[in-house]
Amino acid sequence: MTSETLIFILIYALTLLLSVTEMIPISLAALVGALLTAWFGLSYGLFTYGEAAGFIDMRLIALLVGTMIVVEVAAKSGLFRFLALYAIRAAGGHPQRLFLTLNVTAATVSLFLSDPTAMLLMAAAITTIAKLLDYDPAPYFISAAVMINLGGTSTLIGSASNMIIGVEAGLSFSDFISYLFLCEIALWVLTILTLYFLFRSRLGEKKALPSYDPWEGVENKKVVYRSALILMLLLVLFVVLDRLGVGAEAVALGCAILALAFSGFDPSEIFKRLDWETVFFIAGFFFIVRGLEKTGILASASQQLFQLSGGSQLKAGVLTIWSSGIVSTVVSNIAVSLTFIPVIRGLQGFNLTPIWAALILGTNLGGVATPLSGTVSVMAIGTLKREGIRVSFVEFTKAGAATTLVQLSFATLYLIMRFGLGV
Amino acid sequence: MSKWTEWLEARRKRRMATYDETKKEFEKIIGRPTITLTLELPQDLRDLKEEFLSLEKDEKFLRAVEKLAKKYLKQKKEHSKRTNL
Repeated sequence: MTSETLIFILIYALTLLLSVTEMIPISLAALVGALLTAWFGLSYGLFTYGEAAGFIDMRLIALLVGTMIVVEVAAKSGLFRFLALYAIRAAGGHPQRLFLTLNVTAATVSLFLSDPTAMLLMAAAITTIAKLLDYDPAPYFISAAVMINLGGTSTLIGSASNMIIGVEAGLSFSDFISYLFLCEIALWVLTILTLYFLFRSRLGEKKALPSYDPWEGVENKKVVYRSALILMLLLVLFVVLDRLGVGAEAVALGCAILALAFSGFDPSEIFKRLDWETVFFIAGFFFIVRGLEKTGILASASQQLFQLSGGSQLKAGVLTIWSSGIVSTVVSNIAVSLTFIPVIRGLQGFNLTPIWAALILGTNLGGVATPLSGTVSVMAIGTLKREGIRVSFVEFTKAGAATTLVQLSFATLYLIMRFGLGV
Repeated sequence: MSKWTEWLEARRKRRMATYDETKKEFEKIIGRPTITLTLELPQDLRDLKEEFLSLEKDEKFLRAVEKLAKKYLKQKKEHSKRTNL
């Protein structure tokens, strides 16, 4: 290993460490890392300025920002709050039904909302209903966190890591659905059953729920309808993308403009609410990984993965899903996906589709194994603490690790059957 | 390093503020809603500024205000019933 390679590995490792520990803002860590990568890369002649200018995939950034705008407009209109209120009313004060509807709603809203935003919404809903019906909120909170992490695994816009893998691997919205939708539905059922088995004795007793209208609190019903329509339009256009002859980013930006134009909201208000930190973290980390790629170290990692798998597609798939899943329990799944992409791309002689599917599953499923695994679990614990309820590390990990294990095991079996690996 | 700690704390506070805001919206619809009132220190009680500010956390005062709100609402309801008749 040359000293140049070592410098790029150090930049990568340091950025990763800073983003895991959040000692400094993660976006700043990634941007400083990108600056150092540019500096050393240009100094050593590892890449030219022209090459560096193309390191960040602007299609990915456009897809991310466009989707964020459409979703933010829908959130501001009150659409997701309406869904949560509707789910609570449908349960009618029955704890088992409430557990089911809240978990399904948590996974559904996280198809669109970013995981932290979905967690805040569900946390507020759960605290209110638990206080009203005198239930222990902890089982509902932990379950919602697990379901939010799971929701959106099978869609291109379900998480930032999915968008990254989709754009970089050239997988369309329809590819995601065709390869992973059945798996996600089965995972919802399995996960809810596992969580129910763990928490069934703590859900509370049936109580009368006061009647209310879920539309209450919505300022303008028309804006809710329009936002829902534009969200649906976004999904439909993603499905028929191949026939349109444009990329997913064009559809996302087009729908974002429609959402802004028809919502009547002040665009500057919407722009302020976007998760710019994630956008800049992705841009910066993307640059660092591209720099690392230029040293050839990721190509060696590809060769090692190939050797470890002994040329077997089955072993490569299993290795990818479990290694990315386990690493994602500690490191941001955005960083994991950005690192794995060049490694997988470098695999020779493999059908890469099952390996991409394994990476999508692994990076999505590892996010809530422990209270420190990601933003969602940290926020679930934080909001519970604010409500005066303490959840121990062991209590959270019991549910988080158990569901992660069940999910990764099932996903592995699904991959083997869906893609005929090892046959 | 303290600058970053401040940043992290500010971000945590921002998230909690969003949580409180969302929770308030839910409470307004399905829970027991709360209201926040702004009271100005009466002109002739300037010398009691400290005591006035501490009312925010004075349990006895808060209970008295709650009672007053209850009484006022009941009276208002009675009044509107009578006018409708």
